[in-house]
Amino acid sequence: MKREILFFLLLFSFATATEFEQCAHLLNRTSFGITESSIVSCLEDKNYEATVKRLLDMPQAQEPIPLPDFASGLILPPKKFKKLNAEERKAFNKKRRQQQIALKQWWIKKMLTTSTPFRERMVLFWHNHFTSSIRKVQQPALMYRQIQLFRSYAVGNFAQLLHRIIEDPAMLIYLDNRANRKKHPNENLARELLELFTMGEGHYNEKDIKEVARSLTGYSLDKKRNFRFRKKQHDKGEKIIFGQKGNFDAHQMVDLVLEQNATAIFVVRKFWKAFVSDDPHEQEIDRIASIFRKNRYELKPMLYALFTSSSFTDPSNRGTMVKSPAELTIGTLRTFNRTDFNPKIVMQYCRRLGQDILSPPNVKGWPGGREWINANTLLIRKEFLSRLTRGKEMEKLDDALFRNPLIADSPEEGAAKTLLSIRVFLTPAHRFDATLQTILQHPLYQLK
Amino acid sequence: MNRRTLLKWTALYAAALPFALYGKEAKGAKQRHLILIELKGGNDGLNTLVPYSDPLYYQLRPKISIPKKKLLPLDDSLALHPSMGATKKIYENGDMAIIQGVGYPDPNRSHFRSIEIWDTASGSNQYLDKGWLESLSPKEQAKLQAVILGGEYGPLSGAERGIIKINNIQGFLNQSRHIHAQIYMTGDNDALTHILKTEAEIRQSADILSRYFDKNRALPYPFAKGNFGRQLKVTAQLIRSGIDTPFFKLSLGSFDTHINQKPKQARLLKELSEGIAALRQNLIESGKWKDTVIMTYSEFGRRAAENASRGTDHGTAAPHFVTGGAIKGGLYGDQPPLEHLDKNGDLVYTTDFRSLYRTISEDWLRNSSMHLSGFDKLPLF
Repeated sequence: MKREILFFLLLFSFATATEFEQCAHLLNRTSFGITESSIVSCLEDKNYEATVKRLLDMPQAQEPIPLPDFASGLILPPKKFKKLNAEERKAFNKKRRQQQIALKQWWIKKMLTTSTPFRERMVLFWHNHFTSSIRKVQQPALMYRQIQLFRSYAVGNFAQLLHRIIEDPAMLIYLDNRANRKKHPNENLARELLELFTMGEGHYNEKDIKEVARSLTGYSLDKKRNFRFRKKQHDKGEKIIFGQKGNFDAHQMVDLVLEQNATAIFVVRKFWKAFVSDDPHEQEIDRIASIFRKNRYELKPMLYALFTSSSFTDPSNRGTMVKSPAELTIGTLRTFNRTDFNPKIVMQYCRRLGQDILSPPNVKGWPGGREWINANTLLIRKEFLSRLTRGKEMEKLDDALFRNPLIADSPEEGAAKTLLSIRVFLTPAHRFDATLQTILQHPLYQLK
Repeated sequence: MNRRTLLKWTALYAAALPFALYGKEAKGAKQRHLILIELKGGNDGLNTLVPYSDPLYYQLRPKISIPKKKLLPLDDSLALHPSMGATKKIYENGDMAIIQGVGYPDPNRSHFRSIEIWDTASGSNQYLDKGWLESLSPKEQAKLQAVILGGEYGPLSGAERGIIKINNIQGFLNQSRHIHAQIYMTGDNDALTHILKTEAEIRQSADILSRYFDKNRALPYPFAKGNFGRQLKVTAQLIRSGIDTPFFKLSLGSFDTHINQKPKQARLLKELSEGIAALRQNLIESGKWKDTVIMTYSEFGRRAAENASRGTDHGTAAPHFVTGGAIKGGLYGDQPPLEHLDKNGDLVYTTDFRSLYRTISEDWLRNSSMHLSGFDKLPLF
């Protein structure tokens, strides 16, 4: 690599945003990076607003990736497990671990190959919002069902999703609601529902948590790990939640939560931090939250407001967020049309980079933002990128995107423009390969 | 509304470093080192430090208890696991403190949550973001604060400066060559600033390591092959080199012995025990042993009664080992009584792990900034 003949001149573009840069920004933030077809479609739209609308109205993808065979059912009913001897248990646990890995790979393959990457990005958002971990849930089939739930509600209705999640088997296991019984309430789900899923700390008190927990008693599972409302375990008594009195069950409780102003604000703030900026802009968040509520928690109008807000589109906002491990790895592979890449290796890199898919560190999810990057992970990020551009691997990269005349006059300019979200002019190396390597190793490539 | 101003960029080529990297090296005071060894998966304490005079021990564990005649007795009620002969020797030399029944109230039996509690020195229902050593790591720029050789950042999570995770020194030096800190910038893109600082960190750490590290210098006492032996070897190389890094974190495991525990735990405890002994020899030889403390920790101990698979399930309190040239050896704390198990059938802790942390931070690291004053110190020094 002939680094010495490359000079970077970093200049800030004072010109108003070009269409290309606006589209590239939107794709970088929402769609696991840029592909040739995605950016060309954007450039063909009437204007930016039309692009955002098209993004949100994505079709239901029909692109079956063969499902892992265990996704449809439990691998072994828990009762039978108890009858196994030590050797059989060992074999069973080994098989289950392999299936957990297979499920992670299946999802990564989906993220790599989908024609609607924004849907998968939203699934990942919900996975990080309504967190559950396969390490506790164990059964791959239940985690699969939960991701499918997120997929069907990806840009649907938050209120409906919340009603569904309190009956989701993986969630009920992850937050111990099976142990939440009339006589012995367990507050785990109740507490996280208020603190992390809906309202955020400071908008309710400990008494509310206890009452919410009571409303959730009896929301449990049957032996086959399907949702089951255990009537006898449910506390039908009167509860006082946020000052309102009634014999609330969990769904009535969820309706009360959705009536609280704090809920829309909290959820929009979470979207803000995922898509717009690490720094919340409270006035804008309030404005978008009121749109969210007015539309009865429909996600599309809220997301439209988010992606067209000037905080999002402002040129100074580009390249100010750190790509998550999934965005860096999967995004790079999509951009270079390397969707054939072994998903297992992607999974391992994501784990080493701190984003073990289906195993968030705790119920708060991945902290994200700048914390993705430390001395260890930055070296691993660069190792991944250099692995893609080493020797024979380089030949497998598809650079048609950079050579598309709609995008730039030269491949070097195309690559710099597409891959780095802050404007960079560079004197190219003798070989385009070397230019690409340098761009991918550039600190700005870590940003979106 | 937009707080961001325009970014101002300047390109700098070649080796100009973004900020002053080296402070003055401290003279006089010797650097103290703390080596943490995480026993990953939850080490079974009852078969590590065995209450062999208690018939209940043999009743609770008909299949996996260790026969009296095989044990290495420390006194007339407690004995070490048969594969811990090397530890017993250190104990007899007076450098090994064994703290019994280390745990915390309202124990959590999830690996992930419980190690988080230990790593952040939190209470059982308290959620903290940063590792307990993070606040203890000095903020001087010119120093490599911590080297993570095994497992996660754990007790150092949240530390931003001077911390690296490496497999071997040469590998890290090779990788870091690809990092070229070439951009000087002002402006308020915090994310980019963070990346540039991290790049500078890597270069700085590599510079420090390459100044100290001499790959041709052999160690007088060899380590066993394997992952843990490698971690110990790098630790020994670095401390012997005179590097002023306070923290090293190692990891051994998995101790999660639900099934057929005996052979697995025996192998791991042998690795641990002989590894610590070899590290001690190397550090004594180079005059660094009195500046070093080694401490083990683990997310939990294991259930007092064995399970049906000749193993043990997740439990609570367990003994831990603290050794070093400055340590007053001996047994500390009390053995949790087997006749008073909690409702889960688990040991009830007798020493809060935060007592141990407070002792280390105040009496070894000379730092009292941790808010652990509610926990009594142990007279280890």
